Amino acid sequence: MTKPDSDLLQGTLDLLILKTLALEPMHGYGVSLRIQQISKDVLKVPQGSLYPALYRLEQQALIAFEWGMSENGRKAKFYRLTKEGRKKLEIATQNWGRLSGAVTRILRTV
Amino acid sequence: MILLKRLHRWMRALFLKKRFEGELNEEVRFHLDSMIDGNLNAGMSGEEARLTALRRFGAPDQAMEGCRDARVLRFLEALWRDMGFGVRMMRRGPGLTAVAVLTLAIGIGANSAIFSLIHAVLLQPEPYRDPDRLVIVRMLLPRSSAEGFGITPEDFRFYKEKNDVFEDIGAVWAPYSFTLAGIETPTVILCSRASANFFAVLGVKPFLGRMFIESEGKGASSSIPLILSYALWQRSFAGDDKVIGRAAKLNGNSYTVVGVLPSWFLPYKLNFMKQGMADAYEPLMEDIPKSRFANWDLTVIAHLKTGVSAAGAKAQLDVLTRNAEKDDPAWRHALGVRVIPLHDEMVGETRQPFLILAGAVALVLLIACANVANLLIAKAHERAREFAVRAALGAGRRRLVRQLLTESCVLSLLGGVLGLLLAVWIKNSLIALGPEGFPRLEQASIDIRVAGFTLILSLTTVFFFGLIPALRVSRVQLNEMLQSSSGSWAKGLARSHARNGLIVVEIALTVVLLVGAGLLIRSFWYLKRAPAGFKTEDLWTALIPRTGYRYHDEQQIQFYREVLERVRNLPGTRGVAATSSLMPRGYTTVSADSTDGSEAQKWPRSAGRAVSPGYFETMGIPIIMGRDFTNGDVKGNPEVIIVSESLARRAWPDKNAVGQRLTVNTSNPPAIMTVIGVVGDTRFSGSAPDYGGEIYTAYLQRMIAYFDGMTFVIRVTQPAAPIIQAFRKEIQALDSDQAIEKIDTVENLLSAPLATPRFYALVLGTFGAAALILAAVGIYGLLAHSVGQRTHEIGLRVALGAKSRDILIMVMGKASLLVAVGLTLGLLGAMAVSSILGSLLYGVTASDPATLAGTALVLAFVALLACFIPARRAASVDPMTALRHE
Repeated sequence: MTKPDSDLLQGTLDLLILKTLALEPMHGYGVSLRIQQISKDVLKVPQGSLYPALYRLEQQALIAFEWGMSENGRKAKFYRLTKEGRKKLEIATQNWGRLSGAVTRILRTV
Repeated sequence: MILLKRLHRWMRALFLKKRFEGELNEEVRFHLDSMIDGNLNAGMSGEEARLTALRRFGAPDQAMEGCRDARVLRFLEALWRDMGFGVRMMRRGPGLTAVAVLTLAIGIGANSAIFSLIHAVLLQPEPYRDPDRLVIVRMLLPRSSAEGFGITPEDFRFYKEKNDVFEDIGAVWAPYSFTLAGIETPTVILCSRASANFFAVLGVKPFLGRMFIESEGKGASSSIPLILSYALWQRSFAGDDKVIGRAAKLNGNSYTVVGVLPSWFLPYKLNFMKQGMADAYEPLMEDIPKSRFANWDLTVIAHLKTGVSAAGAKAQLDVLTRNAEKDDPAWRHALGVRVIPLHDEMVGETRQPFLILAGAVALVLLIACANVANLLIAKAHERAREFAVRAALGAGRRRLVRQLLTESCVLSLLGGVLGLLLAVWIKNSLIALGPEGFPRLEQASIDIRVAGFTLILSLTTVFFFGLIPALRVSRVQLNEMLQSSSGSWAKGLARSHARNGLIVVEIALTVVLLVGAGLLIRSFWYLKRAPAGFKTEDLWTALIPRTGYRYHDEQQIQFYREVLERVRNLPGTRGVAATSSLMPRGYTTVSADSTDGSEAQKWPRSAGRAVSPGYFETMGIPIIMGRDFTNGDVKGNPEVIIVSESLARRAWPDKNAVGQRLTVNTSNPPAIMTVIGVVGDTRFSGSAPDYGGEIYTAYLQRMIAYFDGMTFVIRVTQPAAPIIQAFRKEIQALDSDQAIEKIDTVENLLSAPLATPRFYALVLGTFGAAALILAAVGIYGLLAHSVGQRTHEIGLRVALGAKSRDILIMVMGKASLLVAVGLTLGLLGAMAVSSILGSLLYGVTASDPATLAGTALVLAFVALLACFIPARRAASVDPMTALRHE
């Protein structure tokens, strides 16, 4: 099965999605826009990765969805964080902090 | 909670597939539209906005496929699709499917049936309370076999008082025949004596009334309490629920019915003498007089204390026994005890044969699997193009294997369902064929456990028959498939070593099975044909049980004497005589008379009988030396004995046996008797392993053996029915209440002990035959297919000048090689494993050359016959048609 290339580290996309959804429920398009905006266009989420990631997270019960009205008045699927998702985000954030800190330290010293 | 939520999601994902697809579509479209909107807002033209959005998004299909992949149950969906495809494939080749399913059904069904028997006979716990902690205690005596004897009443009391390893210890006497009177039709029943706690030890509660109470073992009451078996209650008391308190007479004594046992209480083998199950129980008296030569007739059942093992209990009882001997060396002469878990005692003799049957039936299944594997490989090559196309479209190796395995699963599950139906039939046939009174055989049923076993078995078989074809197909490289024509690729597949290997394995397994079956059949044949030692034709027997009215031994024997006088010259007979038993009933040790100071020499146990004068003549047992008994051999005259030839040869290898003296250990003090005759050996004991010989005493002089009646033997010269009528009349003229039992021909009596060996031989023989047929079909299938594949090549050979004989030899040659290799491997394997048949064999060794050779011949013949049909077809190939074939 072909997997779209991703500039993101494995698992990082999940973390970003969870973080984005932690602020408010959002549809897929919103998530991709938000990540792009906050990262100041550094991270562009390929849609080929975004949606499978959303479905995966949904299957893992970390996020849930409901259908609602978008800002332009169209039917859209709104994702929100579940309780488990919130827990997962906390842990993943800590892990990320440790990991990136470690990597940064290594890059500075060596 | 989380689990539930997830389950809900999975279910929705699985079953609401349409909705899922719709939602996914809508979501992607919304995303695209939103992007287009964004682009329009940024000032792009309509067309530009759309193209940019599409470019940015990438291929929507890819994203959607990714989403589908993210769903957990995608795997199950694929499985479902594969199964559907498998079913469609099967419907396209119904012949092959039918053969495969039927083959598997035979294999699986036979296994399920045997499993249901094993479950009922071997695995099911005994229906008693705490069955794991119930043990049987037996005595080991210098002369007893390794099995051990029963226990004497005094030893029972001794162990009961001294031990601290048992919660409780109960005993039951071997059942004796009694005449039950005081009811409508007086009948002879088997009655046991049970200790007051016997039923409590087993945890058996009365169906009606009560069990014995402790004081009843002390013989206080005037009327003896009686507990009826459920069957006797139904038979003789018409299931009357007011039976409690009713009076009954056993051998003239007064009894009162106090209880009825539940119908499930069928204490198979719960008595040392193995004389069948008791119809009723009376209390075992505690004050049986102490004697040195008491009967070792008690079956002792004990309930182990928590934490005590059977071995631990044995250790303690052995110490007790040794100490008791130190105190009073003359008192007992036991070597020790055996403590046997009840379950082992129950299944002991059946375990090995049943495990052998299970092994045999597993071999049948393996052979069936090999056949189906071969079929599938053949089928796979026909589907070569389909696989090539699938592979070209991107199906990976794993995907192809999975597809094939799923199809195999469908096959095996169908086979399993059909097999379960077959199992019901096979099981019923086996029970019907089984020997009468085989413990718990009738309880076998096809229940949920057997169904579960069948399911697991069906899925397991997939690995045996499905894996090899699947791996073979998937190993073929895509480019190889596409470059060459599908035909030549298929040839490569058909010529595969795997198929030949399967056939070799199949033949080898069949040989192993056939050798086993052959050995058992030959054993049975030897058993059946073993000389009886007398003329079995036209010989009838009837048991006249001893009765309570003449319970005193002397009177009883006088009664028999009168009977003999009256029936001796019945018209239509050529002799009437009596014996204490026809079949050996218990064994006696004899030794050389050592009263003259010579060292006592002991010989193996001998079967003892007390017989009337004329017994040998009536039976047709030759008197080799000396004389028969006469009516002068009575009490008071010198004690005389007649021995069988084998005992005489063993005891006095180089002396005349007549006139020698023997010590017979049946009484205290032992009787010293003079040999007056030597007679031929008889074979009444089936295949008793440590059979020393036979001894006979004069019934008017000494009742050597345990006896509960005399068996009359009648040699008839005319149709038996009127003679039996006359015989009955004569006896009733003497005593109208005398029962006559077990009227039958000796031939029937002789065949009864053969029922079990016959059963095993028959079952294993059937499995062997099934294996042979499967193997023949397998060989035929392989060769027919290979010939079909090679039609072109064969046509070419014929066109180039090969004679049809050459073709025949070519095809047969290859097949013969396979058969020869399989045969050799099979014979080696059979020799390696046939020793497990050990105790089931009689008259043949496990590596009996005749059986091995016979098996090889039968198999070679059948195998070559299976080869010959396709080979002849190959030989008659018309080159013109064959060359156009491609």
